[in-house]
Amino acid sequence: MNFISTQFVIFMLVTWGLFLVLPPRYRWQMLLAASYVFYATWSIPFVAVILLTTSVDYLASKILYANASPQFRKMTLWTAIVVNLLVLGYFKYFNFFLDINASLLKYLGVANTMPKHLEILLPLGISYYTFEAISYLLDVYRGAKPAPNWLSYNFYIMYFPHLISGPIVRFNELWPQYKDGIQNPAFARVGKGLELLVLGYMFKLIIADNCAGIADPVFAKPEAATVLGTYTAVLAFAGQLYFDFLGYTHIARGASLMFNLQLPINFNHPLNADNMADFWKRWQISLSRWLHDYLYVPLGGSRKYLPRTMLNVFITLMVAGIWHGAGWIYVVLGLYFGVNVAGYHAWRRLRKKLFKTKDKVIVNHPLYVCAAHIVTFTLIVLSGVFFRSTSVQNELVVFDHLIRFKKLFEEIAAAARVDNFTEVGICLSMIVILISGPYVVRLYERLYQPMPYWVKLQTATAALLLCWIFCAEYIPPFIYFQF
Amino acid sequence: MPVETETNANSPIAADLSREGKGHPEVFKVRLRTSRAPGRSETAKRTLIAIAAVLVALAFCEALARVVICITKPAIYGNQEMDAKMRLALTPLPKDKPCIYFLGTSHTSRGVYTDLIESRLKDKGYDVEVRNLACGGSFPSDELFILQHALEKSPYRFSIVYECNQGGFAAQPNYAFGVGALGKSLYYKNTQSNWPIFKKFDLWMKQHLYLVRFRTILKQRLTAIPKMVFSPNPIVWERKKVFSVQDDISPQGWAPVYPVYDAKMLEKSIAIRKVQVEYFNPDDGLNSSRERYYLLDRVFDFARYRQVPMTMLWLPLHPKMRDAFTAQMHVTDEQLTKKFQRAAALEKVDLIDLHITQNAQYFADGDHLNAIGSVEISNKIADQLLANSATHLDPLIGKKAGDAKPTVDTTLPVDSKTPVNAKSPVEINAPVEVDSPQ
Repeated sequence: MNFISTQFVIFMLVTWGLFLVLPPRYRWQMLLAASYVFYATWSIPFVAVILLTTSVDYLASKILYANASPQFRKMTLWTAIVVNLLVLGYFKYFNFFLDINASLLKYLGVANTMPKHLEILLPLGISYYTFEAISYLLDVYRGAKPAPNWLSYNFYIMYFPHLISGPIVRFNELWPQYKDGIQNPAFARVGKGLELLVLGYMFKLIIADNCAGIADPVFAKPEAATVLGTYTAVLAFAGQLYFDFLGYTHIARGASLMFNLQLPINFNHPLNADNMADFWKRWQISLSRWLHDYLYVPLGGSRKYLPRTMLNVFITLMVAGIWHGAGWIYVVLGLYFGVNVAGYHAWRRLRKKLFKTKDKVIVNHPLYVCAAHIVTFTLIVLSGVFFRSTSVQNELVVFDHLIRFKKLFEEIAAAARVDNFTEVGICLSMIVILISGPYVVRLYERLYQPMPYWVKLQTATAALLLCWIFCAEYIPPFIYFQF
Repeated sequence: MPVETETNANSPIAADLSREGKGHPEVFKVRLRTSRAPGRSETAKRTLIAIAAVLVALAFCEALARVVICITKPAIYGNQEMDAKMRLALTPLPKDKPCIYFLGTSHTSRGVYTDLIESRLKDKGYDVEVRNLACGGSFPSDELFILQHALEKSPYRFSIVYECNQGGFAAQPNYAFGVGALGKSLYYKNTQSNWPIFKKFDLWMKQHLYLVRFRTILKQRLTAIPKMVFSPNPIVWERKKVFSVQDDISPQGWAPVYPVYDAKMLEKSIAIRKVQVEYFNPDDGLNSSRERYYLLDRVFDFARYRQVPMTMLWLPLHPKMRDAFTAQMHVTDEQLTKKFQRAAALEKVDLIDLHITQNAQYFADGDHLNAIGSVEISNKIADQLLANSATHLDPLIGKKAGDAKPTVDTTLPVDSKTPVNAKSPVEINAPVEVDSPQ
């Protein structure tokens, strides 16, 4: 069930109605049942996959908590993690492994007896709930209390607002909110939930989907695109990706707040980061948090010497890249982020050595700040090329277009001759939209928040109508649904 | 009691992020604040105010939409040109008078001078009314919609001349703004919903709410201003369509917009078409305009079912536009010719193929004929109709008449603002009757 569908609206209304009429202690069980309905509308067989993994994880967590033997605990932990990763690996990466195997055998000149591809459907949200399950197992291994029963653990995994595309929430963040039953949400909280829902739909329908209309044709056939068109498409895709995911997260958080359960935020104006490490603290915060806690820190984090820190960063971001999808383009994406963030760590160390005590003065200098923002913004926007391209060859074609500056100026001049600044206008608008987030939020909080609730409701109604008027003819599913 | 439940703050990274000041405290902050539970009457009062506020907002938005739509003369169907064509379609013919309907997009609307064709046919003794019901930016569904209404008003003998344009790149359903929601809903039998109550509700909204009925126009008008800022000239035509009333349509439906050839207009139109092709048909002109061709079949079906003589018409493009079109759409003239010929052979209809012309002076831009070109091409169409009168005209008339003197000077170019053989605008401005939906 897509969040942008009539079914979802009806589903939400019915579920919320039931939520309000039920006594608090039965509410999360009802939400669990609703979550199964939500998931089953997409695929009933894959419910079995979730049932299997949640049962294994719950059992493992009980063993981990009850057993004192470190060896046995470690073995149990690894067994459970491997089961989760095998399920993920089979559904998400098996065809990629077959590709690699076929390429290797071809290179070695050995006959390939394996099938070229298997028809494997990807269970919706598998990357997210696998990471949540692993975080739960590791937390219990580190001493946290496990879920008291299978249902409560199952609710943590299945809760529908975060099931498909996150945010990746921890058990100890969600459990305290429903362990004693779920109370009626406060009036202000319902208002906040509705506000997030409307904002989410606006981001998705007005900005992201219309950006898709600009970016899709170019990325489908980059060699046929003009240089100016490629610039427009790259910027438009940055906008599409950010606002699509931001929209999804807002809808997920808003829907959850309606049920009086708070989900963590996932974005903090990532396009305004001043370096790539900062970007990863602002982009998909719940995933970066997971990677930091369960991968980067166990690898040694930044506690050791610089090359080791760089290697740890590199490995962590490679995993982040591959987590997004199975294919060489995601490997390249991981490499890109790994090199950039590791490079930033090296630059920071070098800068400190070069400027010593003056480092802070230089870092805070407006020129340095401005340059840092521009460079980071460019790197982030370029990362979208790796993300969106359908093949490595297409990535190269897009980058080839992006470095043809002379042709770019010629095309701008040609457009100017016929007074057509549409593409230039789209580029400028996208830059403004992408970087104006913090200022818009400030304005929003100053002007909109103090308004009485009935005025807010009226504004929300008008905003929903705007969504309806401005939405594209074809509404694509959320980008992160594929992960 | 309504509460804001607490979240946990024990995550190690939470502490890290908080120390660095980069994290969002909202995620981790323990929230213990509770709010006073409102009583039942308070909740009911708030809920009622909320419902009233939403209704007021909806009414306000509807009023605003009406203002935006009515900035100019309000269009009953998607746009002014469509209204004019509907007025023409709903004007009854003299009883038993046969008619030839020209259907298609702006190419036909602006390029086929029906008054002239009618005059030419009359000269040869064929007392036939010729009406141009083509509408700029229309889609086959729009065209059939107009035709359906025309035939309900004048169910006499008629034939159709249907324009097959070069891939329908300018008439994608999301771009075209022919009849808009109302017409489409009527044509597609209202709605896809299977529940009668939803069907009724949907139709009621489309008939009475401007927000629903003119959604496409609203989107165009609201986006027109930023478009004007960034490309003031190339969208002059769009602006004309959006903000002005097309008063210069001839009595038989010819809408001559551009009187003369303008080299700059050509360059602009090619640039615009390129953008449209890139945005709407990135892969292949013919493949991506599949829906248009699917609906073309509906026109054939219609003709076959009603046993109506039908003719396909392929109008010319400017030679430079044809090259640009071939490059952008990856479709050559030969391929298109074969496609149209195959369709004509399959459906057993005639194809008037006028697409090869090297004369740039016939064009106002890349693909629309100017007044000179329109006269020239319309003469050719009349010639073809007369040459194949046994197929096109005799079945309509039932007999062949003798020669007569011409009533229109067919040699001179025509000023677009004063259509030749102009009749009283009374018929054109007659009130539109909207038939009740099926």
